[in-house]
Amino acid sequence: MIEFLKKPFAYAAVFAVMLISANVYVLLRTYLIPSVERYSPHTPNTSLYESVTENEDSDSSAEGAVITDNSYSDGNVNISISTLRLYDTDIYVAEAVLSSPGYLKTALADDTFGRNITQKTSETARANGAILAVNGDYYGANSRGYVIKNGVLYRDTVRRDSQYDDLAIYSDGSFGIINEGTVSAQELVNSGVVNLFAFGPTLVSEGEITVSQDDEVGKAMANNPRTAVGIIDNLHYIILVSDGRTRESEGLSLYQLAEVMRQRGCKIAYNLDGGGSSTMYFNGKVINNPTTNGRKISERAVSDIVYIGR
Amino acid sequence: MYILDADNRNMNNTNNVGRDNYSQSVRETSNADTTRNGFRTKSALLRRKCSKTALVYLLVSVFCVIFCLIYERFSYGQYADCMRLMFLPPLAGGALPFEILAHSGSWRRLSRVSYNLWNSGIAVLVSGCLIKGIIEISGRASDYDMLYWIVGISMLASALLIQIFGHGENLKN
Repeated sequence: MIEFLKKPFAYAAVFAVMLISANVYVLLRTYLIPSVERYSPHTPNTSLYESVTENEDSDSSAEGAVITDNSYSDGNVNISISTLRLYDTDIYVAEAVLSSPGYLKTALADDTFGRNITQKTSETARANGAILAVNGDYYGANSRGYVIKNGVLYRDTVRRDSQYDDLAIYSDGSFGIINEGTVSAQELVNSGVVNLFAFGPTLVSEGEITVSQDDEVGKAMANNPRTAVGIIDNLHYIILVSDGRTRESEGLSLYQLAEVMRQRGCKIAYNLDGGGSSTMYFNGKVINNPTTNGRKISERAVSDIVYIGR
Repeated sequence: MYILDADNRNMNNTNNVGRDNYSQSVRETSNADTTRNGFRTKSALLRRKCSKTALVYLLVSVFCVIFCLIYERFSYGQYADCMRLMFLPPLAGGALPFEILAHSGSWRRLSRVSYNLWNSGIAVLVSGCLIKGIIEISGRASDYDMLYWIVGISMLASALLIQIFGHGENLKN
């Protein structure tokens, strides 16, 4: 071994190959190699979850739905889409009023929990019969952070950037802001949380904007495509997607996004994964212009979606 | 007058000459200088080697800065501290110490094992900065970066220990 370490060129060559191999392996594990993760053995609060699914089952009015290019109404689900032009950006705002919290759901790409398991928002939406869908928090980009989807606790490790709060959706359809550093995932499930989004930051809380003009997600640039969800009142929601990074649309800062959400009357609003992930699907088609680099309009595959569906 | 240890005194030992990767020119220069000026010439060779290493590290640092600038240019404005600091290991851990060694008369020898391990440690740290930066810029997170820091720092520490306490063969080319 020592003799080998003394040979400059042989050692350098072998070491370089090992280091490059390690780097390639890490990048492949991070970006490409799908890994289905075994999720927490914690039993979900089935009574809460059943109350959601029962409501879903009670829906039988989908066939009588009135559908236009920018609205959907079937008696249980009422959605209207409006397109705004603010801050040199096209903004797509869906206002939804539901008869039951069970219509607001989440779905995993390929119906599988794991890293690098992704699917375009529109594909996941179609597979789940969504009327309206947007990308979620892209839980698969991280190896830590609570993951609770449709009442099932998939991951219970605290997120790295725990200074950010999470958005909790309770079984009665109400929203709450929680911090993973102060409550366990199992406690959240026990308290009735059926869906949790670990992205952020919180845009509006108690009707007041909670971000400053300088705030940004990580070290991203100020203007981006965005996705946000908010609640106005009981079972009355705002789901928003903005374009960005294109000549037509500059994109929104977090503060601008928060302003729009507050102006729409949101009591609580939360920022979801944005950038190239920002996609809004409505009645079978993508209605915004998702783009990663501004040069090509195309959907990015993501880990999860939040949707309104039967 | 520089004090040389046993390794240095053995530099012209025929066994070592046959075993190591001296270039012919260096060997000729070394032999000639040894005849002419004894120990001091061998130290001069080592100092020259350190200067050369420092220069290479400086160029690597500059490359890291340029790479980072280009990468950020295509990252939609996003950046990562780790990638911005990628130039630091080769600068602070490479160019600077080797330049100091080159101009210092207080050291006696430079072990090949230590030299290789030190270079490897710096390479691992630069790789760690690069990989962590790429992952952060893409909005993802990974636990793998910790391995880079542990391996890199361990290699640097081993290199230092071997350099201080070891009796390994001296660096010659």
